[in-house]
Amino acid sequence: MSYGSDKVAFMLLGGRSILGSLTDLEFTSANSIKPKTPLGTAAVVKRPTNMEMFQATQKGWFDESAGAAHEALAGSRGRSTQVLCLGFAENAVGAEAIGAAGAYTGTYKHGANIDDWVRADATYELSGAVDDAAVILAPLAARAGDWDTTSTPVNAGASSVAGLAAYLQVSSLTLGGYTSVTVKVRHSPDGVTYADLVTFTVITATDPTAERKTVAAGTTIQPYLAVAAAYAGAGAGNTMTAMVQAQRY
Amino acid sequence: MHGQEYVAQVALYNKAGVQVAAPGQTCERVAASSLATLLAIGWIVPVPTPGDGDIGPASTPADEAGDQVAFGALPTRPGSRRRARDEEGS
Repeated sequence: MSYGSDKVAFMLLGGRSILGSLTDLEFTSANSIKPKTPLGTAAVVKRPTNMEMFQATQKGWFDESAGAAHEALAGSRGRSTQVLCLGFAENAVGAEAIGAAGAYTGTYKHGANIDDWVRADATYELSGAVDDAAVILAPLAARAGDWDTTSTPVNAGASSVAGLAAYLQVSSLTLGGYTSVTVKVRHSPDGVTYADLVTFTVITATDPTAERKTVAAGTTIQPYLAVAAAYAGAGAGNTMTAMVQAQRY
Repeated sequence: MHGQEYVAQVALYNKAGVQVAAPGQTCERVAASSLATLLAIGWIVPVPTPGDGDIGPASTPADEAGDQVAFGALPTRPGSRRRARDEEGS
């Protein structure tokens, strides 16, 4: 299926926005299969390998200014693992999103530029986990100081026990003297009282970053999910631009 | 629920993101409307009260011996051993 870039809320790779302008986007989520034909069998037999792969292509015009898509795509080549998040439709609590994490290979062919715009074809391929029915818990936004979304949780209507994958994308971070910031996904049975469910790796560097963490099957995940971020230490002017999404299995 | 105290089994937070109970702490600051739900899922447990049978001074060796007698550990009683010897000699 093809999307215009104006129809996509965000497209983040390792915390960096790779969404071009005036581009066509195509996504493929595939499960690989492997020939398993026994000797003497008339028909070809293939079996799933239970390995997923996410592919995306983006063709069109990319912003060449500092920190924008062109820089991110050119710099992403050669990185072995990446975390990708895509927000369709809207950047809002409860909106659908896609997440993928794994070994990254990408090609980025670019031609002549006009002012700050580059005509390019970008292809991304992530061989690893694909979560194509995630929901946004914390929309991509700049937030100052400690923050949480416990007043606007996502309610699944029932608890679940089949596991969960949570994604964090941090596009920019200013610690302002604080030593670190920790982002958590919290769950609640009633939307009133919460407990920690997922704790992402403590962030001490201000470079863009991303992470995928999972909750194993068997753990009871309560119906309400929300996000909380807290800084450690002391300082002032601490801000971060971040997004969190999660998918229950 | 009135009069009953509860202890948190996990760190609990309110809607403002403020921690209202650490593991092992009593739940005075937890929203009263949540208590029954949290109890049902095991995030909090009732504080045992006297008379529940699971609190009180630790058992003494004498208590233990008494328990053994009460539950039929007869071979360890001197009288039982004597009776056993008598039976062997007869």
